[in-house]
Amino acid sequence: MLKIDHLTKTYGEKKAVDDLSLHILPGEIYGFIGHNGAGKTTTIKACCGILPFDSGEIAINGKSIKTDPIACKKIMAYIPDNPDLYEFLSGIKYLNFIADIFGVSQSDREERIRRYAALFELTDDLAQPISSYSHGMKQKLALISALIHDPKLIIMDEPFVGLDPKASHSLKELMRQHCDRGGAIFFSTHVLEVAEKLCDKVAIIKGGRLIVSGTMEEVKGNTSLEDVFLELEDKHA
Amino acid sequence: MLKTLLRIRLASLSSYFTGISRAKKKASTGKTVGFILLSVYIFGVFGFLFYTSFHAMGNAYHTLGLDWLYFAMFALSDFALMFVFSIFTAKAQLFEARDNELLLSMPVPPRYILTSRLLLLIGINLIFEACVAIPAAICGYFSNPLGIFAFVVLCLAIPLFSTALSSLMGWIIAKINVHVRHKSLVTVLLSLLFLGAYFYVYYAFFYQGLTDILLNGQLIADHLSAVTLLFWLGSAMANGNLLYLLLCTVILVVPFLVVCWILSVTFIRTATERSHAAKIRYEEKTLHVSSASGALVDKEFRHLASSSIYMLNAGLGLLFLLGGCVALLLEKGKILSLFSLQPDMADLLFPGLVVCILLMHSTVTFTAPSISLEGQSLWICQSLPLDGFQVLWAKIKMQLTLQLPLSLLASICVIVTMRPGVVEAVLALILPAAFAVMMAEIGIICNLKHPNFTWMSETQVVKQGVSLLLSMLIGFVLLLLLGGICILSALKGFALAGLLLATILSAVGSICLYQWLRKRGSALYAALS
Repeated sequence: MLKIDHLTKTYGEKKAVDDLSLHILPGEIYGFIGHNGAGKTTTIKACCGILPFDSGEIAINGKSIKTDPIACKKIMAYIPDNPDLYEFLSGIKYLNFIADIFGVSQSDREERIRRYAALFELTDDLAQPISSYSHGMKQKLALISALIHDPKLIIMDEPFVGLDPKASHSLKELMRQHCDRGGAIFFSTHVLEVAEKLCDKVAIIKGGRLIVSGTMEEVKGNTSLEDVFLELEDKHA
Repeated sequence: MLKTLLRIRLASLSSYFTGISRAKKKASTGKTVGFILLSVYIFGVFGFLFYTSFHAMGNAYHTLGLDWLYFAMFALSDFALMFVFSIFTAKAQLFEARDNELLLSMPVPPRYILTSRLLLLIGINLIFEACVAIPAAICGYFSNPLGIFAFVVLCLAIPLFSTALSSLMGWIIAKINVHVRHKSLVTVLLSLLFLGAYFYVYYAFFYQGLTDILLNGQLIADHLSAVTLLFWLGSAMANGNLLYLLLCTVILVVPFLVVCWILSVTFIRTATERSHAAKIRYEEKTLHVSSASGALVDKEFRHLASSSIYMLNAGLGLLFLLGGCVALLLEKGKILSLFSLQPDMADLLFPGLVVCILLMHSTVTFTAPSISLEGQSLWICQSLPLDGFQVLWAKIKMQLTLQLPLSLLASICVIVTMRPGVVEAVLALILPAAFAVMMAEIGIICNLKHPNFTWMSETQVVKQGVSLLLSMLIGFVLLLLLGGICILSALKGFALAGLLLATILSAVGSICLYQWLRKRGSALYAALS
């Protein structure tokens, strides 16, 4: 579903991502872990086609994000770490705008908005301008907008930040259901407990380089993901 | 602490004037020099315009022994310029800056935050004042050194008065907005009402007074001297009257101090107050389905409708265009009779009116800040399955949807008034429309090349952004070129040829820019960050 091959991205002299390769298959929830500034957001943005990269290749469902970005974006959804949405629109207008861009039929968009807004308890607030939303409400709206076109691949940067416990729980369930239906999820997180429970595979990155990747069992063995992460961090310091 | 706040404000001022952030400073020395030259050129042009009018006025009034009136006119012009430029800025700068809440959460006294913002407004006013004050000082007749002293003191006091009025207005609008749902509409209406009232008074005193004085001299001067403050201002500068200087300074400074006091005691509340408008509960209804292009254009309109500062600054030219149409139809007889007295000039009237439409178009700047206005939400369109050109074209389409109908209306008014030949009439319809398209494209290209996504307030990109300055400058140069072709060829008796050439140039220009946007626009938009 998502294949990252020898991705390299530099900012001036600094290599933000260095020769990174990952492969996310359909049906997988893939966690992406690293300390602040490790290169997670840069990688994610490059995968979504909103950040040009220096070398390597990123393919989504066999199509290159470099040469065929529109085809790639049609089957994926991106949620950034900070949901800066169009503050001048109301929640419902924003969702309708996203549905228009993806060409979602009227019945589908109405049904999905009804379902996901109820799930995240946002229905009553959909007529309010986004400028009046809290961080958590914006995050919920971004999640609904990501699901509105039923994407095959969902890429999320710190999706649990700002969500209340109930919404976090709903999101975890949604992620699992999405992958059970053959979709794939690639997300970054600092919450190692969540990653440990939720992810099928995990990759740990440091200084732009991949330290380790594989199934959760392969990476953590008999210890906890937190112990492995801290140990690897020290080892590669 | 105040110093640090001021440094931040100045850095932000410099970055939005030049489009250069601190991080990129090293690599941008050439760019900085270029923008300094551009700024000097723009202020030079304004300064020269004021110099020519002050030069004529100074000599005439001095001969009549009415130097006080000259300086009174200077004070009015000075105040008018600063007020017009700051009226739409004050509210956004003072109460809507994105860093207000961050700063208020820090151990920073609110009065320091307010002072730094007010000083920035005064600083901007002083820059505009320089365009008026320097030519006025050169052309004026001071009877003694005390007059020069009074001139300097009042040049410092008038910006305070202007800042006080615009800040007070911003405060009043901010207070009203808390209780209404359609904030931007209320702001636009109140701002236009205030501006309209101001222009009415200014016209009554300044323009009408200036016209009448040429006919009635001393009589009108006596009439204007009845406006005590104007007489005191003029006399203080012309004759160095210290009593008048003291009185004027008090009158100009006291309102500023009162406004500062009002703002300082209400600043936290005004800057952090949330809307009291009742919450609307969502009720499910059938959703309207549009094409991707339609949705993008709709989004642009909604963004425009939500921002009073965007509407007022970018769209004021449209209001002037509409006003011009009404004036042309109502004052048709007066205009034609004026030119019938000078048959040599009659041939210039038709192309001249067409050039006036171009002038109004050159001030419509919706596209120039439109990419920067995406701000931190730029990622949305970049991550959606859209071609960058689609996004850019939606912005152009929004401007043209507003501009082209008015352009056609204005052209029809000119045609109905002047009754030219069929070919001239067709060209009068096409030329302004082609020019409008070209200006919209220039605006978007300037913003593609000089975006700013790190603004603290929309004012920074809507009013003073480098892409805006650049597109206005290019528009001004194109206006000189195309207007020059139309007027000069009319003078030589080839009005039709001139209009035809200007139309061809505008049409070719807009087509070339369209092609450029199609080829390069997507890649440039995708690379923005």
